Amino acid sequence: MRKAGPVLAILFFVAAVLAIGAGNGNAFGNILRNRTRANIPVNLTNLPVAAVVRAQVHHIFFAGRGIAVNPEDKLDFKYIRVITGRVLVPPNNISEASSTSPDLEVTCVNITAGRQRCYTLVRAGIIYLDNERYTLRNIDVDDETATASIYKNQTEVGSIAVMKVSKMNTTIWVGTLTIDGATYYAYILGLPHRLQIKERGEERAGNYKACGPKMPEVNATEIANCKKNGGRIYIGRDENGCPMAPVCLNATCPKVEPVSAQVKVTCRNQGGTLVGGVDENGCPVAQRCVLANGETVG
Amino acid sequence: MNKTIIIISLLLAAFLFGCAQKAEQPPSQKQPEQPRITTPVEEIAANELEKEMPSEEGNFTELDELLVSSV
Repeated sequence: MRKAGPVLAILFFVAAVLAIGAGNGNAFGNILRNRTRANIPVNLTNLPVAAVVRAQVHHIFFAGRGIAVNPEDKLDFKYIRVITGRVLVPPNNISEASSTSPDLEVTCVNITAGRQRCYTLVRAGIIYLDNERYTLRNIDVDDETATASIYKNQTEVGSIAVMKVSKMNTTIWVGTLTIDGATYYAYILGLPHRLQIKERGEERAGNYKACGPKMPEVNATEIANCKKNGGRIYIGRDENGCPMAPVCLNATCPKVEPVSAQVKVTCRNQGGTLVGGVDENGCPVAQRCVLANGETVG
Repeated sequence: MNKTIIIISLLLAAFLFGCAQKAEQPPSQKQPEQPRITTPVEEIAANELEKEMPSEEGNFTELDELLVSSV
């Protein structure tokens, strides 16, 4: 009987190893929270019914052209062409690195009882300064202000922070643009676009001369740090409608646990893609396994 | 008692042999991997937006009309 002890120990050990191997470690979270942020929400009315098989522009935040002027040297100016908006992308276009991007949003709608279709959208933008092409990331756009980091060849090279001013029935985005260490005052005339979402809220008109010579400025590092912690850049207005210093609004984000290696393998084997991104508050969300048709697994 | 130990040892050996066989399976029998995505989705999205960039001529005309009509 004494000899049976080691044998039983081996059996228990084998059983324990098998149990660990069979565990599924499912960490998917169904995080759907109330909208509390000021970012322009996703337009749910014109989401496609069929699966998204190629990237397509969902809506435009704003598009326009203008001038960026160096306040230290009036002959140092740049011609601006800009467009920013949300783009629907197929889930399988999302790489592992992009799956936790602060510009990635996953919006899910119920299609039948217990089934959801999820749409992966990316906030993106292009800005030309003269003939130089840059992309925009870490984008925050509400009804009155817009901020973003400026990238060139995957490298952060500047930032833009503008506020909306209405003059003569025209929308003008006014603010600062920093590129390669130089700061410019930017004036962008908004141009109408068929995919532009209808503006909410009242239009502001006022005597901005009373606001003083300083315009709100935000640097790229501030934006990146803010985004990393699940925040968004917000430029408030004082009682006279003058822009105040940009602040990072931090939502109280719940901790997101990374998915296990087994979940990654299971998702990949089922032909799905793990997508996380951020919710309406800018908080990182747990990665979900989304199939090519938008349905979730797990 | 000895018989029990022998039977259990045989079962254990068979189990370990099975595990070893499974580990030696050629890679071709595994699930095919998805193609690696090389273009960041942010770039894909930006390229789509660029197609919607207002053209050089048409929209300036629209803007001129807008500005003139509002005077």
